[in-house]
Amino acid sequence: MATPDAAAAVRRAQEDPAAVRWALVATALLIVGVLVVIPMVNVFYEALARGPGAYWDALVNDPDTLASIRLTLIVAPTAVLLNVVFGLAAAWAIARFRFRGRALFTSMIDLPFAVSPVVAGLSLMLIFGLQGWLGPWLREEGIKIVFATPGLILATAFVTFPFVARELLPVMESIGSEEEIAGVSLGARGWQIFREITVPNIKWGLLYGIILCNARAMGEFGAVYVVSGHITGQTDTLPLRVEKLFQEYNMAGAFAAASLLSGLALVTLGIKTGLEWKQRRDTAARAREVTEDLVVAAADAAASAATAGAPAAGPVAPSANGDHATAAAASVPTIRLVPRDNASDTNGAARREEGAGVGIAIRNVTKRFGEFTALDDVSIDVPHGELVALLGPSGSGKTTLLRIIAGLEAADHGTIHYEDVDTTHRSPRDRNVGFVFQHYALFRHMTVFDNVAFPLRVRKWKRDAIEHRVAELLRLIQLDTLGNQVPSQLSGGQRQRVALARALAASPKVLLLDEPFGALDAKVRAELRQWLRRLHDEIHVTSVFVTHDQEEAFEVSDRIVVMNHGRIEQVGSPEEVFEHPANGFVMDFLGNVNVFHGRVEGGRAVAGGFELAYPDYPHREAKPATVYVRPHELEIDRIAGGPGSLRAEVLRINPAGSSVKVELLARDFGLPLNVVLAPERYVQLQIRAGDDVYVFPKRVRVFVQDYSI
Amino acid sequence: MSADVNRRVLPGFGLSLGYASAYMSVLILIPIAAVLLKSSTLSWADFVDAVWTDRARAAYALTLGASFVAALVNVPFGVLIAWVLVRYSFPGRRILDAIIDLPFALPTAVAGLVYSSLYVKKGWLGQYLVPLGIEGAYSRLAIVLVLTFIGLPFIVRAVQPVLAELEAEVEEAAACLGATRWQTFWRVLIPTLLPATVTGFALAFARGIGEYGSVVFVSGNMPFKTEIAPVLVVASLESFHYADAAAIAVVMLAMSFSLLVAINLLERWTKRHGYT
Repeated sequence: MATPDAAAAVRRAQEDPAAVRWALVATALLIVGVLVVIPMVNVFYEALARGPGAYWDALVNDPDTLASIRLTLIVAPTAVLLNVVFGLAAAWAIARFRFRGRALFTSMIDLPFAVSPVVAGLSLMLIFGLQGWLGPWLREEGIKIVFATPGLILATAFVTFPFVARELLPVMESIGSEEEIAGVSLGARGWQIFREITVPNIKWGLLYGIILCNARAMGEFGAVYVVSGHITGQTDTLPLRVEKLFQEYNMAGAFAAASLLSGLALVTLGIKTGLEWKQRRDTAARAREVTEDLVVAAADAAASAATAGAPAAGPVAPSANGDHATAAAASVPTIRLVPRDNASDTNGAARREEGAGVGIAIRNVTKRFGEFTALDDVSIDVPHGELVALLGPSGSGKTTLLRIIAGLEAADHGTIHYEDVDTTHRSPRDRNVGFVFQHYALFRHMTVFDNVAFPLRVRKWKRDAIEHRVAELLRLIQLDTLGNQVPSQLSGGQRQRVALARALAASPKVLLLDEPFGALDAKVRAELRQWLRRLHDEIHVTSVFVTHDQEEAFEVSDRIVVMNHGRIEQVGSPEEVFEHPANGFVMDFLGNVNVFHGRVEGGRAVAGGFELAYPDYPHREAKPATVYVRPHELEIDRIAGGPGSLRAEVLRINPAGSSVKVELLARDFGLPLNVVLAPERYVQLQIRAGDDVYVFPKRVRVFVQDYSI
Repeated sequence: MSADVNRRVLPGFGLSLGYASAYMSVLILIPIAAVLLKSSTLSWADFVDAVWTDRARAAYALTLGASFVAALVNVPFGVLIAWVLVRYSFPGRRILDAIIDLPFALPTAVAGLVYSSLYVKKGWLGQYLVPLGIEGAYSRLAIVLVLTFIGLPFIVRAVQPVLAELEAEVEEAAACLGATRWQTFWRVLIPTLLPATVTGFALAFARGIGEYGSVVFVSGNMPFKTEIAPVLVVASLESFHYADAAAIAVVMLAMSFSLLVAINLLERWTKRHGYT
C-alpha cells in the first residue's frame, strides 16, 4: 500500500511554483470529474429524476428486479465464500512452504485476470452446457448448472477467483512464519495455530480481499451473461437486469437498479478507504514506536559507551565498567524462586527431581543442505540442569544444531535424547521444549498475559491454574504490571523476557535460546545476560543457547561448545576453553591473539623472531607450527632479554579503559604486535610512540600442524 | 532451508495445497482446457474460417485498437493524478484518492449504462459535444471513452507507490548537481517511473481487451463498425456455434496471455534492476 509521507510531500510541493501546482491539481480534478464523478452523479440523478415514488416502484414493485436483487445476494456471497476458502488454502501453501512448481502455481492464480469474462462463461458452457462434456449426463441426472444459480455462482467465482488469494499472499509473506513456528514449539496443533495465530494476524488483509472480491462478484456481467440463459425472474442477476431493462428502453428501471449497484460500490470504497486509513495509522504508530526505540537505544549506547569505555578485549581482562556493572546489578531486582515442578503439581502430575544425569544427548548428528554440510557427525552430552553455550562464527552450524535439538529441523543422521527419551522423530510440539526465538516471535495480536498463557491454553489447563501460573511467571520476569500490554508497546528487553516466560510456562524439559540477546543494544544485553544467569541458577532447567559472542558465552554459561564448519572444536568450562584451547581455531576465536607462523624442531619453537623451548616436540625433523600469544601475555621491556625477546617499535598507545593497549611493529620481521599492559606497568615503563623496546612472551601456545592432513 | 523446516513443523501442507490445486483445476484450468480442446475439434481450415473472417478481423482490430488508445490516454492521466496525489496537499486529496478506485468497484454494466446516456444528444455531456460533431455514444469513440474509465485506476495505482517511495534526496541531489526542475523531471523522475507506468499500461490494456459489460451498452454492436471480439464470441454462442466461439476465444486468450507474460517479464526485469 502506498503510504505517502505527508510531511515530505508538503516539503517537496514547495519546490513547484503555486501556479504549476494548482494547474496540475485542477487538471487531475477535471479528468476524474469528467470520467468518474459526473457519471456517478448521473446514475443517481437519473434514478431519482422522477421522484422517490417512481424510484421505489421501479425497484420494489418490479418483481423481476426484486428477484434479481435476491439472486445477486445469493450468487455473490457464495462465490466469495468459495474464493475465501481457496484464498486461505492457497496463501497458506504458497507463503508457508516451498515446493516444486510453486512459482508456476502462484502465477496461475492470476489466470482469470487474463481471461475475458465472456471466455470464462464460454468455458463453463463447454463443460456444463447442454452440448458440453457433462451436459447430457447432467440432464439425465436432473442437475441444472448452466441457466441456473449454480452456473452463475461458478461463473462469478471464476472471474473473482484471484482476489482473496492475491490480497492474502503478501500479507502472509510479510508476517512470516516465526509466530506460527513458535506456536508449534509451545505445543499448539494444526487448527489451533491457524485459528489463534494466523487468522488474527491476517484479518485485515482477509477483510480487504473479501470486500474487493465481493464488489467484483456483485457487478460481474460478461461471464454470468453467457451462462445465465436470460430467464427473466430466474437467472438475471442485478447487472443482467440492468441490461435487460436498458434493452427494453425502461430507463427509469435500469437506472434504479444501477443506483443500487452504485451504492454498493460506494459502500465498498468507503470500507476499503477506512481500512487503508486504519492500516496507515497503525503503520505510522509503529514507525513512531520504532523511532522512539532507536532514540532510546542510541541514548543507551551513548551512555554505556561513556561509562564502559572500549569493550573489554577478553573475558578475563579486568572489567573497566565498574560503575556500569553495579548499575546493571542494581536494576535487576531479586528473582523469586520458582521450582520448575510447581506448575506440574498444579497440573496434577507429580515429578521427582532427577539427579545429575544427561539432560540432552546428541549422538552423531549430521545435516546437509544440498552440497553444504552444516553439521558433521556431532555428538554432545548436555548435563542435566546445566546452561550450555554453542559458540562459533556464522555458518558454523550452531543454529542448525539448536533447531535440530528443538525438532524444528530434522537431522539426516543421528539421534537426540531428552534425558532418556528418544525424541529424534518427535514433532517439536510433543517434545516439551521451550524455544526462545532470536526475534522473540511474540504473538503480536495477543497481550503479554495471553502470550504467556498460550502454551497452557493449548494444553487445556484450567482457567485459574493458568492465571496463577502466568502471574507467577510475570513476577519472575518483573513485568507483572504489564500483563495487558501488547508486544508492540514493550521495549526490546521486555519482549525478550516475555518470550522467555512464554517458553518456560509449560515447564519444559529443555530450554533452547537462539542468539537470545542478538537484537538488543549493548546495555540491555549486559543486564539481560546477568539476569538470565541468575534466573538459571534458580530454576535449573537444562538449557542450550546459541551465540557468536564469546564474551556472552563466558559470562552466562556453565559449559561452552566451540563449533566451526559443522564440527565441534572443543567442549569445556569457560576456564578450560580459554586457558587450554584445544587448537589454533579456538585460541583465535576466543579474543585477540598475536599469531606467529614458524616451525618446531629439536625441542624448540622458532617463530617471528622468538625462540622458545618446546619440549613436547623433541624430534630433529622440522615441522611447521603456529605460535599464539594473547596480548596480555606479552611483556614489554626497555632492555633485551635473550633469544626469547623481539625488538619492536611502539606505534600507538591507547591508554583508555582499565588496561593500556600498545600497538608495535617488529621491523626486522615486518610483524605487527598487540600488547595489553596493566596501567601500573605502563606508568613504570614510560614508553611513547616511536620508542624502541623489547617484547617477550610470558606464555605461549604452540600448535604443530598435523601431518595427517 | 525454511522449506524442510516448515513442512516438518507447520501443519496442513498437503491439505492446503491439495485443496487449492483441486479447486483451481475444477474452476479454472479444466474449463480453459475445454476451450482449447473444443477449438481443436475444428480442422485448420475451419479454424481459420472461424477466426479470420472480415468481420472477425474488424472486431480484433477494434478491440486491440480501442484498448490500446484507451490505455495510452490513461498514461498521462494516470501519471498526473498519481503525481498530484503523492506530491501535493490540497483540499479533497483523500477523497480523490478514494474515488480513483471507483472503476474497480463499479459494476461494468452500470458504467456502460451511464456512459451511454451521458454522451447521447440529450445527455449531460452529449448536448454540448454532439453539435460539435463529437459522437460519444454508439461509436468507436464511445468504446474508447468507457475503456478509459475502466482502465484509469491501473496506471494511478501502479505509479503511486513508486512515486511515494522515491526519496526526496534523489531529486535534491539532482538539483544540487545543477539540474533544473524540468531536467530533473525528464532525466530522473520519468526513467524511474517508466517500469511502473508500462506495467499499469499493460494491465489496463489487458483489461480492455477482455471488457464486455460496459462496451455492449455504449457501442451499439454494429458489425465491422463497433463490434468487439467478446461480442463475436457471444454471437457465435447464441447461434450454437460452440466450436467457432471457442476458436475466437482462443485468439483472445492468446492476446491476453501474451500480455500477461509480458507483464510478468517486465516485473521480473524491474525487480532485478532494483526499481522496486
